Amino acid sequence: MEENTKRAKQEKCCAALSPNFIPDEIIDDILSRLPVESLMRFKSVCKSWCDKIGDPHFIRMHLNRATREASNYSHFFVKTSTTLHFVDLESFRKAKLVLPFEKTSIKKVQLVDTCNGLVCLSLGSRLTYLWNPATRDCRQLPIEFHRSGYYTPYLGFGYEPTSDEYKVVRLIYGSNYRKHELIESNLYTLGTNSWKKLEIGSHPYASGFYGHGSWLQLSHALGKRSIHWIIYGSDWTKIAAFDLKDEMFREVSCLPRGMDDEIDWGHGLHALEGCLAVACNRRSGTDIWVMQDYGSENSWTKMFSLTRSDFGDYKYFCNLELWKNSHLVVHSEKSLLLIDIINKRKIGELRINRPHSRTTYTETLVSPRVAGRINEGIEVEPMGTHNGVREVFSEDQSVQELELQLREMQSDMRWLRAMLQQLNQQMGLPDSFPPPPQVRVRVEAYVTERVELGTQVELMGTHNAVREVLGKEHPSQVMCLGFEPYPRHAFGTPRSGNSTATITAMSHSQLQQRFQGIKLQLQELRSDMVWMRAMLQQLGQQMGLPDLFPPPPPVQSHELVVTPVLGADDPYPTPEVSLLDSERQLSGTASSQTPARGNEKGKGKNN
Amino acid sequence: MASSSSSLPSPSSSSSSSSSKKLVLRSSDEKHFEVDEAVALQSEMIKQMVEDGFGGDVIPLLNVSSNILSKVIDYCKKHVDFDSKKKMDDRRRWDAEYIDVGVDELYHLIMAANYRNIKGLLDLTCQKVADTIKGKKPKQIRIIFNIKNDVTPEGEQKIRKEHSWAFE
Repeated sequence: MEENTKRAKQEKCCAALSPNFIPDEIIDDILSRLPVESLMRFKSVCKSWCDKIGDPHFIRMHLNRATREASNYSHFFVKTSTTLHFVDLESFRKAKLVLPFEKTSIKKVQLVDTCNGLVCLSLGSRLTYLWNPATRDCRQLPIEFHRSGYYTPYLGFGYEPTSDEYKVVRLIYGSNYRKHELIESNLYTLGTNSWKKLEIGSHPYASGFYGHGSWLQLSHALGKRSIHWIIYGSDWTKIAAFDLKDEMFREVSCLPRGMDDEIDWGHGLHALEGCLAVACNRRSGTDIWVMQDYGSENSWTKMFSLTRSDFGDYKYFCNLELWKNSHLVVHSEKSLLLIDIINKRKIGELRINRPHSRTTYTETLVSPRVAGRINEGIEVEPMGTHNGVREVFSEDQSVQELELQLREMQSDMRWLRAMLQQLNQQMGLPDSFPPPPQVRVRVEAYVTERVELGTQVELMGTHNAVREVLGKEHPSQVMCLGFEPYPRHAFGTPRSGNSTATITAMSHSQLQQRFQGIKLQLQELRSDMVWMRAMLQQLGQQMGLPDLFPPPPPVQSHELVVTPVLGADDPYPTPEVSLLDSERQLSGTASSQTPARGNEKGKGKNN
Repeated sequence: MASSSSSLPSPSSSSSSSSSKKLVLRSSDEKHFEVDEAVALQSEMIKQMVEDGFGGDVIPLLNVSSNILSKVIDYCKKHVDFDSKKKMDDRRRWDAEYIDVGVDELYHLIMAANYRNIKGLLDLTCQKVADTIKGKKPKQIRIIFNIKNDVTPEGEQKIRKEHSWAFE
């Protein structure tokens, strides 16, 4: 009895969804809703799932779902002098996070910011890391500058959607304590894995930076692609932004009076319903101001005002995070408080001592490596192991079969023509046969689509043909990246770090065209054949001859190895077929007008 | 449900007897369902058909059996109501109850939602599957999705090693 229920339970939990086929896009949809940990585990379900989970398009789909609502994160990290905490806001519980590098005192590590599930960490004054805690993938950014002495780097980390790039901006301040002086600034781009220098002259308020920048989920087009800082001057407080697209700093707004005066515990930058928000921390409590119209100083509005004494006996009361547009995480002298700002109510309290830094977090599959992301420059996975490409290729297979038939026909034809010519000459007849009947239009489209060698190729995803072919139905399979407008080359991201290879592939529409072209050529040849056979038969009968010609030589598939020669005048030459010896002889006889050998062969066969 | 009978109600008479326009849907087992147009239009596919001028006839839904279709219509009706009220908590509670079904029914609901292009229902069903499978082992996943294991033991070992924490 117990056994039965147990089995029933087991069956229930593992019952097959259905023996039937579940469309790929539904599988993608379901998987994109799973936590990263499940996905890492499901890599071992089967090869196609493993490929799918590493596929940049799936990673993007998963990311889009995770970040769909501007402020739907539900975790954040808090760093104290001894621990890196992971805080789940829904349950308001904490867990300890293990740093990705060993033997490093957490004291030296600075939590810079997170963006799309990637965490930027800074260690000492030189080392910077990008880390995905969910996949446990970590990358140390190259150290490209050697500056002696002590200095302080302030960093900002963010994502630029147009180029699909993650960038780190670094401001280096000198060691002269009396003078806070910017001595250098650099910009790191993940795709190229390199730093470049930024012109210091382009910083209007170079000396005003006193901390790391904030990546905020803003809805304004400019705000969306910028990292924000609050900068301080002798008599002003401003918001500055580093534009990741134009790669320069600009001023967003001055903080008006009321936000700027009598600030005891500094400002905090946040996003509230897609708008830039600033928390002003005073001894008495915290005010939240919102800049409703991005960049317009007149649009600052005070949205919330919280009084410290309303929430208990706290000496210190400083905001950390704004959550779900309605909750605030503040830290007091001994704990973190979760506060419902609309109802002015304390929801939870968590013992965490003196947080140094914090950042919101949403887990994603985004990789801190170039691999697995779409990038220019590109190393490619070797062909055949790749899903998308393999699929394209499998279609290519059928084209190759057709091509094989075509070659066979052409070989037949040559033989037949040679025979006919030979016969004709032997009999001293004029060339009296009408030409073979015309076959409909010949499709040359695929020829006219050829492009110059070295043509610039669009990156994947922006290429129409590819998206059309694979993107619509199999968004996960477009991983083979860009295709040249006319066949044969695709770029891809590598699975393994540094293998470089080129994939030969075609897009579906091109294959279709080629397919059509070959089909028509085949028809044409068949028509030729029928005509020739008829002619031959007629000739033979007229001459009262028996059927004395041997059957045409067979064409074997292994002779049809097609090698596209790149770099020749014709970038995509028609594949050459190596003919059988006998055929070569035959075509030789036809052109050199020496009939004897062909005839001999014929006779030999007949005998 | 508007009607669930095997006899064919005339679309013209039903539209005259009721204030709102009705559509007639036919399931794969030849049962007819008369529903308000607003309810049927939750399905993008049916919306498209109506826009293309096929709304006056019986709309055949070849891949959907009558019991699944009636369940789908339940969903659409309820969500037409919800859309006018905007009570998120009610909606969530109702959805949770609605989707508490067996695996087989869940599968057919997904397929129906996908085929008829009902975004809300597809979201709900896919999320349900995701919630169901997220804690499972790869072996169980293969059974659920009827997947043949083509990963070599060495390959599986490698994945396990790389992501050992995910298998704990």
